[in-house]
Amino acid sequence: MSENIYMPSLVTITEITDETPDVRTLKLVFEDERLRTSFTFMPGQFGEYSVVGVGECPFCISSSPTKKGYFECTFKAMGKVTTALRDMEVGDTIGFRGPYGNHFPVDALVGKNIVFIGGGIGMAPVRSLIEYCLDQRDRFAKIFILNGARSIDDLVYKAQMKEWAARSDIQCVKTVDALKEGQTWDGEVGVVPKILEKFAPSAENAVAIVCGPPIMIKFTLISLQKLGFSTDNVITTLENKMKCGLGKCGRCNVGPYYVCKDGPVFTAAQLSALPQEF
Amino acid sequence: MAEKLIAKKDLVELLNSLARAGKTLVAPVEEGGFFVFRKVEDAKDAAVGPGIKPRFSFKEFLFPKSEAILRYRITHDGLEVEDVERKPEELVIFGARPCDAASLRVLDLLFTKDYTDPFYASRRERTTVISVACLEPLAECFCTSVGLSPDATAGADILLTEISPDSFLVDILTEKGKRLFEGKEALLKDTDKTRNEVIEAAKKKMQRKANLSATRDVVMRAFERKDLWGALGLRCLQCGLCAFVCPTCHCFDIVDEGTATCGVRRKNWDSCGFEMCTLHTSGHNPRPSQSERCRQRLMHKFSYFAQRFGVTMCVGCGRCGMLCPVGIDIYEGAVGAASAEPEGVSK
Repeated sequence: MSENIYMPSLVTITEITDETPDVRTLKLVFEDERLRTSFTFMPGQFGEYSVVGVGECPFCISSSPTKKGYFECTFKAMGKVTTALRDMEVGDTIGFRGPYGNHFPVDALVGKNIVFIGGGIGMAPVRSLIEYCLDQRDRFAKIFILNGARSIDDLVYKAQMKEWAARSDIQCVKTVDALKEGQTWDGEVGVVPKILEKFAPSAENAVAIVCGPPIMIKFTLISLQKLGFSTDNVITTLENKMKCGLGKCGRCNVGPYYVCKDGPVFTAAQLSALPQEF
Repeated sequence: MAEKLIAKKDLVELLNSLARAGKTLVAPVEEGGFFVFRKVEDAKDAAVGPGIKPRFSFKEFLFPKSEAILRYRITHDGLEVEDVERKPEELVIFGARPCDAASLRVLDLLFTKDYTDPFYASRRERTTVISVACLEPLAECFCTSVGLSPDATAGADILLTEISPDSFLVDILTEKGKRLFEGKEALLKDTDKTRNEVIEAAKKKMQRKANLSATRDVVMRAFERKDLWGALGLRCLQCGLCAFVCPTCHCFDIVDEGTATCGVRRKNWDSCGFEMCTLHTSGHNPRPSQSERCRQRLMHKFSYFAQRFGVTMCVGCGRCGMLCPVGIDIYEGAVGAASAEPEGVSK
């Protein structure tokens, strides 16, 4: 019988990390032993995760392909499927289809200074690429990481941030939009574009990777422009509602492009040429 | 290949013999006041005369409104996900209109390029399409405006043209078409008649004659034309009828149906006209109002699909415009979008 492109593979949850009160990272291992070794993907690609009986939802793979034997996803409990996913426990089985979509242009980043900027859950695809670069550190020049969130509670990847901050070959900045009264904090306070301009990483031989909520992206692009980044050197990811992930079901398009197939990774230059419908 | 002639009664007998040999005949029949494609036992029940346009195309025989794409079971041993069997019947679609047959060119590209949708592909493989040239275009028809014609052959395996009250001209277009006549070639008589004359006469009867076949770039420039989209958005009721009667619309949803212990995952028809189609969980919607959704349908047909696959996605059957409860007509919309910007309208 011909291959069923809609069939998920089964993966087991082997570890759960609570990143924030509503964001979780799941460590996933394929039930099929062959898939554990043969499964490959690139940073920026995504998958369709299913809580069978509830439905499927798409999000990126947040771990790096350099980590073998497992992969991770980071999601926010928002709707039906992500809430059901949040209720799963270690040892439970979910469905996975993927990897889908294009990926960050990793080869074009070799030898470049990379400015990573993530806001909230937008850090998930950025994290995959950061880990990918860190696992081959000598292939890339300077690395600057800016991770922002609304509040201290909402900042994702606190554990990774600690590891990254401890390294001398990375500049790692964390910021929150505001502090609650009485909170102490060893990071920055201010929205991502403002903090970006404060640290002002050089645009020289540099590429910026920016993922986050639309409002953050909008103002961060302006800040990057001020710092001298051309739109070709600013890379972001789009998210749209998806069902199939395969360019068939017809809802994630932006003009003639399907985010699921032609994206999710686009340069700012590409986005500005698209119908502004995302 | 030169056209042949077949007596209608011989064709009916041939189709019935195919049915006896295990093939399933699908043809237009009258039901509830209009014509619809149904499985028929006897080919003589098929309503294929001039001027008969079934309410829907035969799309659902290849891409059903709803179909199971996997089954699941949750037992004490864990989760089991099972593929569903794909052993579709051998279909012979008899009496397709050439516009409907041409929709297969669109659906084939969508469902079999890059990733192959095995549900569509397995049915498509086992389907033979016999179109009947359209000698009586209806008021809503505009196939010639989208590069097709009353005797378009795209998507068809055999094209019939009614040449007299008791005979069809037969144009066998593909190997699949040829196979239907295997061993029955004697039914096909030589003839010096051609369909040219009746087809030219049919084209003359066509009331809508714009040129919309090479408009992908022109239409794209109308993206910001608020005068066009705003008016459509105010009228559209978001009923989805246009997508459901369209031979080429193919948006679908994927949903799980069942209990906590067993069920199916289904592919169901959807429409870009529905707000929910693109609504993010966060509440953000890239197409926030009905204007953008009406624009999407027209742009997809006349620009996006063509940019992606090189083919206009509209076959000019005119059903959506004819049946729309508020009279939104994609032909008029496309003509408007393809025409120069009205003066005084700011972009």
